[in-house]
Parts: sequence; C-alpha cells; structure tokens
Amino acid sequence: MISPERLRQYPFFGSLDENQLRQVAMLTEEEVYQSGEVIFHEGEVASTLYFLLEGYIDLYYTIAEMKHATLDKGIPVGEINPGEPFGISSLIEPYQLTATARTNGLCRVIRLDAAQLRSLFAKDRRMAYLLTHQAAKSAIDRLHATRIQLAAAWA
Amino acid sequence: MVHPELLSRYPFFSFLKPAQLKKIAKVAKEEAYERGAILFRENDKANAFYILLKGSVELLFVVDVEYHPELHKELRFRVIYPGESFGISAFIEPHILTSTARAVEPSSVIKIEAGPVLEMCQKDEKLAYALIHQVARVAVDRLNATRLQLAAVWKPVEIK
Repeated sequence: MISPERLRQYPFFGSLDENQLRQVAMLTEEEVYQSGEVIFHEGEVASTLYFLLEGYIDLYYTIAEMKHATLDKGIPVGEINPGEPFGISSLIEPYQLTATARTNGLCRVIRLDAAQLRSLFAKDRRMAYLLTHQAAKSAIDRLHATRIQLAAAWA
Repeated sequence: MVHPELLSRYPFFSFLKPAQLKKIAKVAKEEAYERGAILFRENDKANAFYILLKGSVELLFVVDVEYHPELHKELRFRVIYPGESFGISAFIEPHILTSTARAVEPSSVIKIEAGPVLEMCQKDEKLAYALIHQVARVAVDRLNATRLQLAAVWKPVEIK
C-alpha cells in the first residue's frame, strides 16, 4: 500500500479529502518492472489504473496487417513520464485499453484496483467526479501532445 | 433555446434526465455558418460546446509566422460530421481551445453555453460526474483517432 501522504503529492489525487485519500490508498500497491516488459496489451479490459513513479513507458499500437520484423513491437504512439497516470481507460467506459504499454528501462509504478475504485465511486459521487475529471484532463493533455506530434510528422 | 427532445437525440446527452435536459436546452441555441466561417480559434477562451447538426466542420492547427504571410500553414487533423460534438475544452480547465474550427460547407450546430452548465454541475454532483465522464469518453475517442493517424505516417528507423 502507498501511504495517503505520498499519494497526495500527485495532482491526480490532490483534490481528495483526508477520508477519500485514505480509502483510495488502501487500493494501491507498488510494483517494479524490468526494461522491455509489457504492463498491459491493447484491447484488454482496463482493470487497473497506474501511476509512473520512476522510469519511462512507451505506448504502442499493433496493426496486424503490418506484421514485419521491424514492427514486431508495434508502432509508437506516445510515452508516459514519471508522475503521470496511465491506463486511464479503467475509469472511462467501455473500460477497454486502447494501447500496449511497454517499459523503457526499469520502472516503478503504483497500481490501483479500478474495479474497487469504481465501487467507491458508486457511493461517493464527489470522488467519482474529482478523479474522472483528472482522467479527462489527462486525456485532453495527451490528445493535444499527440496532435502536435502529428503536425510535426506532417510538416 | 432548442427543444429538449432535439438534445436527447445526441449520444453525448443520453445520460441526462428530462429535468436536466430541459435546463440545458434553455442555454442552447441553433446557429448556422457559411462555408469557410470560423466557429472558434485555437487559444481562445472555450465558453461553448457544440453538436454538429448539418454540414461538416474541420479542426485545424494554424501556423503563422509574423511578417511572413507566405509561411502561413494549416494542418487539418479532424473533420467533424453531423451528430458529433466538439469544443469539449469548454467543460474542463483551463477552458482554452486547442484548435481552430472552420465550416467546410454550410453547416448548422447546437451551441451550448458552458457557464450555466458548469453552474448546474456545482449544485448537482451526479450531473457533474456524468458530464465529465462523457467529456473523458470523447477525449479518449479523439486520442485514439489521432494516434491512429500518427501510426499511419510513422516510418521505421533505418538501421545502417
């Protein structure tokens, strides 16, 4: 379990009150991944929300028709930096992962059981709003960053 | 105002209860744009949310270099078709638009003032959650579409 004090340092949880933070903290665990490990696959059910503590994570799309020796890892479509959430699809219907996440170097992450978090949401609408709001913000930030990458690729 | 029934036809508002729908319909209006008309510009304050009724609207990045009009460049990364919503930045801080929207052909929209909707959300936590969840869904859909566009132009690095 990650202590509520440590969780509070992340803007994602910054707006929760003491009691909410404690409940969320109880759903967390810390995990270490070696370089090159796949944390989750595109298309899977999104059942865990993650935060990157240390290291870097690359997001990939796999396109079956393009199976090719140089493409066996998929096509890179984004990256996650320390402090950022990922697997945010676990808070957004239809709760399905949209990319594959692979570690680039040793990574330390916080894992948060999303099914249990969503059952907290059913009882605490305020918490549901605050955290879904953060997920929406991070999706919009990522959208903007991806559009800039696309603009650069087209230029 | 528009008829609440009109709003209820769009998936974005499918979560609203009749009373909520009525309130939102009050701050919504229909607007028509000529071909080439700008609905909003990148970096402007995002104070309205749109649903496209008819026509098509392109979302662009416009790159201008001061004193060099010949370097004006436009990157069109998305076309919005009837039934789709846009301007979701209006519902989320910092409420700044991240692209420019321009009508590709004569188009009509439902334009919803975000201020009164956000005020309603402050008094109604269920509504606030349902709305932000829809915003998150649209953002994730757009993100996927953009990643796919990025994947399409990606070239493997040549190993020499």
